[in-house]
This record gives sequence, C-alpha cells and structure tokens, in this order.
Amino acid sequence: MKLLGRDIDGVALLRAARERVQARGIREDAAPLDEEPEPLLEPLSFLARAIEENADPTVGLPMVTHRTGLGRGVLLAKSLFRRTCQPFINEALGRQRLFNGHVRDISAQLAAEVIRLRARVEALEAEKAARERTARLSPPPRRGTGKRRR
Amino acid sequence: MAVHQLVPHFRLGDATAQAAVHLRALLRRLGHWGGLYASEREAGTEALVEPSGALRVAPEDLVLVHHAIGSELPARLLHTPCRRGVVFHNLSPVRFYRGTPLEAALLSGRAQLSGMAAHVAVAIGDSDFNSAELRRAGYQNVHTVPLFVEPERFGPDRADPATQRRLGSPAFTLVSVSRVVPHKRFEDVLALHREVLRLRPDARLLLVGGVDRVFPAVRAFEAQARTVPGVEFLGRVSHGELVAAYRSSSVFVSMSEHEGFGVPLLEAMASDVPVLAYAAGAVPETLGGAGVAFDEKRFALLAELALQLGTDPALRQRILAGQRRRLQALDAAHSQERLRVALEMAGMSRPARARSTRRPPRVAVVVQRFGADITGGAEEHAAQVVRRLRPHWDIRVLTSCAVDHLTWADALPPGESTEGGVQVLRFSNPRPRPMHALNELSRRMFGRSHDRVAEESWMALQGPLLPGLWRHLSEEGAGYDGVVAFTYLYVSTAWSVPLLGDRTLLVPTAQEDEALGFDAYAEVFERPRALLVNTPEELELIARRFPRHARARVVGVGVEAPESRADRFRERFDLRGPYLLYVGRVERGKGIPELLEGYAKLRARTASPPTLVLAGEASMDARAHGVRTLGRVSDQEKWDGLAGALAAVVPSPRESLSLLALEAFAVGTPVVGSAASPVVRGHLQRSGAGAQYTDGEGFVEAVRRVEERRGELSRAALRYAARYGWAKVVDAYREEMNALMRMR
Repeated sequence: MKLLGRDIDGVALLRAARERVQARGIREDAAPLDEEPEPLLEPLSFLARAIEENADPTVGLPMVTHRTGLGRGVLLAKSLFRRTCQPFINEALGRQRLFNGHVRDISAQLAAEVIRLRARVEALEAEKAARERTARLSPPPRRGTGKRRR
Repeated sequence: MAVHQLVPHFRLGDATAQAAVHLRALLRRLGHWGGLYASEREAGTEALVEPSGALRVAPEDLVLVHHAIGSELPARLLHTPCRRGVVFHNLSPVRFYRGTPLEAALLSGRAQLSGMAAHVAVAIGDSDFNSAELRRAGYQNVHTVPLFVEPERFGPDRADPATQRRLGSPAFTLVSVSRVVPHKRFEDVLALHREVLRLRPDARLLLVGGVDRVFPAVRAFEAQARTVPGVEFLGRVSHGELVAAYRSSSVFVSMSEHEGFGVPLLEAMASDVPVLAYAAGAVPETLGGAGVAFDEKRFALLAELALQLGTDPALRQRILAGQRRRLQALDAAHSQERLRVALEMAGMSRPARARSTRRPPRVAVVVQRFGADITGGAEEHAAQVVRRLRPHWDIRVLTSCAVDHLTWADALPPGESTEGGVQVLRFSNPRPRPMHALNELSRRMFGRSHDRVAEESWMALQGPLLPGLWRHLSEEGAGYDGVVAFTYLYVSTAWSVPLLGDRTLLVPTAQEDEALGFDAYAEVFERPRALLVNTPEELELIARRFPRHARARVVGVGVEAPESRADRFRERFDLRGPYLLYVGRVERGKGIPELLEGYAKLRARTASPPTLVLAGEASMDARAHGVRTLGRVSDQEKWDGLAGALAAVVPSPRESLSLLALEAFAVGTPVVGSAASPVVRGHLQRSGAGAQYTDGEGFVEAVRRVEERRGELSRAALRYAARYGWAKVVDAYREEMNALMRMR
C-alpha cells in the first residue's frame, strides 16, 4: 500500500499507522479489487447488433422491480397481462414488427456498405501513400544533353 | 458564432448541469454566446435551459454535446449542420452494472462515443484521464478543460445554519458525497467507518446524495448501513446543507473505483476538510498532490490514518494549506485559458480588437427597456444619458421590445428603428416573465446560499431573456468602441457585460436587493472597465458585497428643472390646500403600504392635514381617506406638482439614486424620505433639506418638521440641487469612454 500526497510523509504516516494497527493485534488484509478494462465499442457493429436484439416489439423487456409490496403486485399484474394477452399484443404490433425488421435489414445493409467503403478508402489511401513514397525515392530525371534543335 | 451546449438530463445539483453552466460562464468571458438545451429539464430550470428540439444553428456555430451516458443526443449531433464538439465526462464502468437497467445505456454510450469521433471538430475532456479515453476512442483534436468550483460558495458563511446546528458535534465524523450507486463503493466507506468505530465508538458517517435503490448492491448496502451506529443518510440536499455537512466533518472520504474528475474532492478542499481518497481514475490528477490518496483498501490502516488526519492539528493544517494551493491552481481562469485554446483549434477564435481612434465614438447603450412611454428609474436614467451624450457619441440603444416592466412581454416590433433621433435596435424576448413563479422561487432562494446553476436559473427567470442581443454583442460587439450597460440585476445586462468585459462601462443602479447576495453577479461588477455609480451609498453597498469590483466613480445624473407652475397642477387636478406628493410606481415594493400607514396616523393627529397625492401607475389599491391617486402624469405635470408640494415623499426602502428626491430639490421642495433607504438617508443628511422617518410616528414627526421649517429647507434643497449639473455628468461619461478607447 502507498500513500500519495505532497504535504505528507507517506512512508512515515503509513509506518506509524501500521504500528498502531499491529499493536491492536489486527492483521490487515486488502480488499480484492475488481479491475477490468472497459470495452471500446465499434459503433456500427454494436448498433446493428442492438437493433437486431430489440427488433421484435412483441417481446417484452425483462420484468424487474426494486420495490416491495405494491411494486410486486404491479409486477404480477404485468406478468398475467402478458401471458393472457400475448396474441393481442402480437396482433397490435404486427406492422411495427415488420417495420422494425426492415429497419434492421437496411441498417445492417448500410453498415456493411460503410465498413466495405471504409476499407476501400483505407486501401486507396495506402496505395496513394506508397506511390508518393516511391516517387520521392526514385532519382530525378536527368537534364537533356543532346544538341538543341534549331 | 454561437457555442451551444446539449445536455441529456439537466437536474439541479447534477455535475453535468453544473459543468454546462460553468462552461457557459467561461464562454461568455471569452466573448461567445450560446444557449443551453436538454432532453429532460428539472422543474424550475425552464428559463435557463431550452428543450433540445428548440436548438437552431447557423453553419458557423459550434454545438457541444455533454456525454456521460447513452442518449439520443449523439445521433442528433451527427445531423446538426454546423461545427460539432463533445465534452466528455466519462462513463461509469459497465462491470458494476451488469444485469441492471443501466447496462444498456452505458454500452450505448460507449458505442456513441466512438461513433462521434470522426464527426467532431473538437473534443473536450474534463481531465487528462478523460482526454486519454477520447484519444483511445479515435478523437483527434482533444483538449483538457478541467471542471472547477467557486471556493467562495463553500465558505463558513454559506453553510445552512439549521443544518450546521443539527450536525455540529465534537465526535469524529467522516463525510462522503455522491449519488449512492454501485461503482462509488459505499460498502467500502461503511467498512472504513466500522474500523473507525473500533477506535472511536461515537464516530459518525455522513452520507450525502440520493440513493439509487434500483441497484441490488445499493439496496444491500443501505440495509446493512442502517444497522451500523453513527451512520446518517442526508439524501439530496440544498447547497447550504451540503456546505454544512462538509463543514461539520473531520475528514472527507472517497472509495469510488471510477472517477472522470471528482468534483466533491474540490468541494471538500474548498470547505477546508482534509481529503482521503482512493486513487482511482482521475482522482490523483484532480488532487494534484493535495490531500491523501491511497492505492489499496486496507481499512484498519485507513481508519488509523483518517483519525490522524482529522485530529492531528499540525498535519491537518499542512494538508489544508496544500488543498488551498491546489484549488488556486484549478481555478476558473485556468479552465478559461484551456477552453480558449480548444476553441481556437476548432476555428472559433475571435479577432483581436485594435485601439479605436474613431470620432465620434460608436457606443452601444444596453438597457432593459427604452422608449417614449417607458417609466422606471433606471430606464429614465438611461434615456437621459442617451439624450445628453448624443451630441458627443454615435449611439445605438440595444434593448427589448417590452413596455411592461412586470412581464417584459414583446409590445414593440423587433429590429432597427429611429426613435426621437436615436438609433434603437430591439430584440425579442421568447419567454415573458412569469411573476408568480419568480416570486415563489425568490421566496425559496433569498437569504440562502446556492450553487451557480440555481442562481442562473433565478436570473434567467428574472429576465428579460434576449438571445438576439447576446448573439449581436458576441458577433458584432467589435464594431462598437464601447458599451454602456444599465442595471446589473437583469440578464439583459448581467450576461452582456462578461461578453465585452473591459470594453463596458456599467451603470449598476444597485440597491439593497436580496439578489445582490448571489455570487453569480460578481462578474457583472468585476469585469467592466469602470462602474459609474449614483451615490456614495451605492458604492459602499457594492464594495461591501463584491470587494474585488472594478474601479468605480460616483457620477449620478444631472437634474435641471424646467419652468414650472404650481397653480397649473392645482387647477388641473382640483387640489386645494397643502399637499404631499409621491411620483412613481404605486406598488408594495416602493414602500406605499408604510406610507399609507404613516399618513393615516398623520390625519388622526392633525387638525388640517395635507392631502397625500400619489402620481403614477398603480398595481395596488391605495385608496384611503385624504389620499388622491392621479395615475400617470406627464413630465411637465410632475414638475408643476413638485413645485407646489409641501414636500415630496420618497417612501421606497430601495433606491440607487432617488431621482424624485433630486428633482424635488431642484424646484426647492423639501423631501420626507424613508430612512430604510441608505441612499435617501444620504441625500437628506448631505442636503439638510428634509426629514426622515422609520415608522408611522416618525412620518407624523417628519411632516411636522417640514411644515415648521419649509422656507429654510427649501433654500437648502436648491443649494444641494446645484451640485447635480449635466455638464459634469457628461464629462465623466466622456472621460471614461475615452480612457476605454485608449486601451488596447
């Protein structure tokens, strides 16, 4: 363990604190840390997948509540509603389901196209850079030595 | 070139809302105007923040989206046809929120962060930690503009007295300030408190911030914490209560495992509480070597350490001194400079203004209302200054379309016009003032301390809101050699002054007003080139409240009485016998109820009392025995009336100049004035031309004294009025404007 701070002698402070803890007969344990790097998400793929996962409006979201008492009652009522009325939900949201399916497909199509074009642009830029590098490295054309024509 | 800001949720006390309001204050100081827009707004902030759908941009504008969670704003930003930018406050780590309703929003937020990278001109992180994450997400033009706190808002005088009395205790007290959510690791704060309890059984733990019970981990923590002695949940608190909580504590502790900046660390520093914080995310950077950071959570050791920080006076003083140094390094000026560079790199720099040699100088006069039929002390003052300085300056009046001083509702057409030979540019007010809501908010806010967001919400509600004026000054302000702005109180002036800073002369017309207690007004008094005040009393008031105010000069106005005939007034209004005259708005705030009370006593005590004549627009019922209400009178009628009065009455407890008193003196009429107003008191003491009253009995006595010595008081009045000539006033304005133009 380290203490950071410009206005303290971290080592001395820590040593003194440790001595006091030990004098009380306590063994010090560090709490385990839950370290995990945060993901960097590629937006096109993430959103295409998210649209796909949520395209069907007839499927409800997970039912949870942090409330007790009345909250639990509401949850039960929602669950009963879903079980008994699912055919009507399907009927009411049929066109929305179709529409979402098209949105999903066109998004996937466009995302794929953007990814393909990005790759193509990158390849062309790399090609252009390589051409420019080659042009820089090749010797300059020699000056003419022939006789001047009249 | 406006710089607008989009915020997903605008809530009072929320760090993102505070960041947006602070950023706008810095933008104003850099000469940029811009609106605040939000998808969701907390009730009470509607005047300050517009709905995101109302955003309209010009191609050269910059729109900054504040990003801290997934929202619909990044998608909107991508299709906003102007320059775009991101202000990144970081996103909470997903690992703490798996399986909770927040998981999807956090993942979307991360995807949106990467998705915006290729489409923005500038990216701002509020710490280097956040800026590094922006670069990792593919951003190019990345700048760190740190958040800041205004230390004066955390002084001992800002603590809510009732809360401080309730929380005050000699017991060792830990305080932790944040919304109770999983990644803040309040269970670790509790573990530390348990260890402290072993050493100090009377120790306390104050937890400030709302509890998000939607998360199972938080519910478990709360259930556990409520069984531990000394733990007190304070919940969401007002600013004054927050300061009281900090100032009632021995040590501030943070166990958070992810911080994009950590505003409470700075708040604790500003409240003189030693900081003990887990070195996660941007915490070490924010602390910058101040306070104590640790890299492992060994609670028994930390408990010993916390006790030493809170109880060893030498160590505590050393740490507090270091924390104060850190606060100074992270002040608003530091962030402003970083923001200036960021905007410059985004192509938003403003051209430097060269010294002007133009003759006559081109001067803008900013005033809340202007026009022939407008009454009101400050407005009349501004109109007279414009009239007197027209021969010397090329003046353009910048004002609202309002006639009504209560609602500021548009009544005159916006745009350019020439009125009485004066060029006037009027701007529309999109939101008339809701007086009931303003009075209600004032009742809740006055006399208490607040953060900048709450104060600016009040200022916006006060109005008049003139976005066109601010855009005009930001874009075309360089075309003026200088600006004279009237009345500090209204946002038409309060938000204009910082835009042009030291190219402004402010005529504050300040009076004992509760709003003067708001720190957000400091820059209105500190940034102009000079303050042109009306009286020594006004200057004293300003110096007491804002000791770092700009150079000030007592200028006042000139008073020149036209030829007047008292008999004409008597005849016109059928008045016989002596009378007392009040001219002005007949409303409660002007001290009319106290005047009527005093007058009733006078009638009861006197055999032949003078009539009380009230001339002016009435917004209250002032009918009483012996009282004549005339409604509005013409300028000539006013002078005729003053000339024939036994005395002019000035009942208002709040005056910055008291033009009525000066006008009465100019025609040799004494004044009976309320001693509640330091300005009126000052005039009466300096002139010896009248009498003061504090209550009903005093009023009776004051009128009696004036009756007895009318002739002597009249001579004193004329002598005093001779000091108020326009020539001196005009010279003062011209000298100040010339000095302003000479500077680069």
